[in-house]
Amino acid sequence: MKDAGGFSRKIIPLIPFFAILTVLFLLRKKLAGVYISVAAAAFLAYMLDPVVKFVQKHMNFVRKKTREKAVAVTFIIFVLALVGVTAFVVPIIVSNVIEIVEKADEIVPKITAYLQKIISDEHYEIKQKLIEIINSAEEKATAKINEVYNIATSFSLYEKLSEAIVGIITAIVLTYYFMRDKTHILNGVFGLFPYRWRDFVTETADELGMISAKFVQGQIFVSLIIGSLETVGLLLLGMPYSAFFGIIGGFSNLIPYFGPFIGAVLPVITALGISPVKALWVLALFLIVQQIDNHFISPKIIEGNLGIHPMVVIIVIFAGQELFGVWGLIVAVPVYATVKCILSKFIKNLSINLH
Amino acid sequence: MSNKTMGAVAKGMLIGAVAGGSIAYISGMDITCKCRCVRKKFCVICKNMRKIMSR
Repeated sequence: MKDAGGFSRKIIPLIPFFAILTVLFLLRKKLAGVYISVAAAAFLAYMLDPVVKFVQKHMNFVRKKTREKAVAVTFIIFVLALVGVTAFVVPIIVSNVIEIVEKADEIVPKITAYLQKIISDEHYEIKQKLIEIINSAEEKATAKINEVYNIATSFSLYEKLSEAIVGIITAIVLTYYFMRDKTHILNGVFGLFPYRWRDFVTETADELGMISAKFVQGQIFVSLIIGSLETVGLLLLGMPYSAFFGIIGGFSNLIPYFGPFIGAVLPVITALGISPVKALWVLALFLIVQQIDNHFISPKIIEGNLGIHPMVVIIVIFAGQELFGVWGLIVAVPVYATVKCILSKFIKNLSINLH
Repeated sequence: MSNKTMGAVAKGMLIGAVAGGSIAYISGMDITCKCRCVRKKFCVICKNMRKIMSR
């Protein structure tokens, strides 16, 4: 059949394609687990991509340094690291959390007593307010943990656990394929765009790749280092729950500017419960780690910045926090950078087409 | 899956396929396009495509 512009050749495959897409969208609640696994695998593959490139470059023990071999090596390292982390780090965190919960009843009166002592009665209202905040935080945390504890001891845990294990194994296996077939997958995705859009799409994707390499991969790597440094430092200071606080510190380091302070709050308060001198030491540790990060770690890993003015970064973070809470804090800047990049490319493209 | 969900999914599928398919066709989407050298832009399909596009 001959027709203008290959009408039937183009539209006949499009209809089942969109039918399947619609079904996948309509069943999103039932298939949520599958989507999460696939998304997690894609994210992991993306995070491990620099590692694959590094391994491929330095793989001197094989004659031909192909990507497949590098992927295999990276995957083995990744699985071993995962097993190591689950075997050694997770039990420490779990025991730390349980300990904190058990000791919370002890620590909270200590801190309130300390506050009673340092704040004079002239500022009675401030004192009452602070004590109220601490007590309500403790109550909320206890309620949440009791909830988790109830789930953990009920039968539904085993159902959820089996679900989670299937999801995790699927994600790990998918990660391998995502890493191995990276070019095929990317070309497939780019091929979906109409031909005249492809230049724009590939260019924008390249730029976004650079932004995310700086921000996502770099930041997460820096946070891992910061978390380890803080854990070791707290261990040396003889603080309890050092692994737990180190992990919180590393995680909060994902937030630009405010992160290090947010990460320091909990350990400093806990140290205050032990002794004021200890609290000062902990504060000093966090300041030193932050300085090391600012001057030696971040500049080496995150080369240059995103080209966003610090004032804009602060406003964006604040807005993100107001709109989406904790997650807003973390994703605000990368999302802003992405949107800015796409929009500026789009406007540039438009003005080129207009002239 | 209950009959009701199946019905809803079938209806959605039909609407989605027709609407999505036509919008995609109008915007120029072509999933049968075998050209996969999006970044090199030098294969035969690409060259011919460029010629057609520049006309």
